[in-house]
Amino acid sequence: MELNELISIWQSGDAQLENSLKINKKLLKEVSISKIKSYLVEFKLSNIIEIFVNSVFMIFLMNFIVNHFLVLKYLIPSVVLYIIIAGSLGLNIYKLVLFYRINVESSVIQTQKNIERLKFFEILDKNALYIIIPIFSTAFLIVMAKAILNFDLYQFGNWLIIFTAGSFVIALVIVFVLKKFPNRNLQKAATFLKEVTDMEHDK
Amino acid sequence: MKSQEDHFLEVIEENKRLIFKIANSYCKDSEDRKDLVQEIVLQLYKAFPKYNDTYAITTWIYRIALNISISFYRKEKSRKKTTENYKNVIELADDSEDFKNEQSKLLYGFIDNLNSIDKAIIILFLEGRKNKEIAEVMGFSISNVSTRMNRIKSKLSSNVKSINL
Repeated sequence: MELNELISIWQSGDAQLENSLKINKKLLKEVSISKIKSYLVEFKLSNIIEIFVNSVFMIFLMNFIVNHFLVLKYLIPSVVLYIIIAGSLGLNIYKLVLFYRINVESSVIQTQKNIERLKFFEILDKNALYIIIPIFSTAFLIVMAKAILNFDLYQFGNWLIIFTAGSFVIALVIVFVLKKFPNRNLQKAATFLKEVTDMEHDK
Repeated sequence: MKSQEDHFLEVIEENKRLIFKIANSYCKDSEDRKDLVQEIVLQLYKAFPKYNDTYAITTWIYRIALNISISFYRKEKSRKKTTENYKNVIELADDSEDFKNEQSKLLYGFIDNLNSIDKAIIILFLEGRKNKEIAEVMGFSISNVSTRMNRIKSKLSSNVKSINL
């Protein structure tokens, strides 16, 4: 079979398609009001909420740091929290920038690269959370107990040490598990991104 | 005077075969295919007011339809397990009412086995697009498109020979 034959086979499909072609005002109305569940729309909403929550928490932390600047036992955990939240906020903003760079009217390669990069960072962010949360929890408890209840959690020194040590062990176990069984979607996103970039440079 | 909606429907009417052919190539399940066509039409409708004639209307439609289809295909692919190549051809034969003749099924079977980017390139080629337009739609250089086209053609040729048509 020659390529020309393939083209004519492909084009002969036109006549057979005719029966199923119904793009009219009714469909247009339906699609304009339907809320198509695109992962990108969900992503945008969740990211905006995260940015808002992180920003509020950063303001709260800044206030806490100023008020406890000379008390080292509160300064250290609040600064640790501040760094983690600032990093998370930075990533959220970067992901939102990537989101707004996605334009379905752009070339296929450019759009697919942006979508996949966004997917990659989204999954990476989720994976990072598993590790950050245990590390984050001790500092979070100390700061919140002081800020909300005016309670000094250092009074329970032994418990705090065990809790912190436990959290770090959990974080290490999670790192081990994630390395042993890496997220398949993350790998797929990375592989596709590499494939597309390679194709782009393929001569 | 024509409303924007009427103008849009006119453009879609003229080019609807492209949309259906692309949707058919990236989605085998008839229900999912309806969703995909709807999503393509929605994205075209949303983007229509911004369309300017820097590119041909077909280039603009191809870009949007292919971008939506590739994302849809990749999402679906991770949701459903991909089946064996041979089975794909059989499923196409059973599932599709639109393409009943054997050769069409085989051609769709071959296209189905290509990766999402090569699939886009061969669709554009089969639609009779020149390498320059394919390069514009895809964002590749013209020489890159020629190289990829040659690889796809030889892959298709060897597949055709192996079926012994």
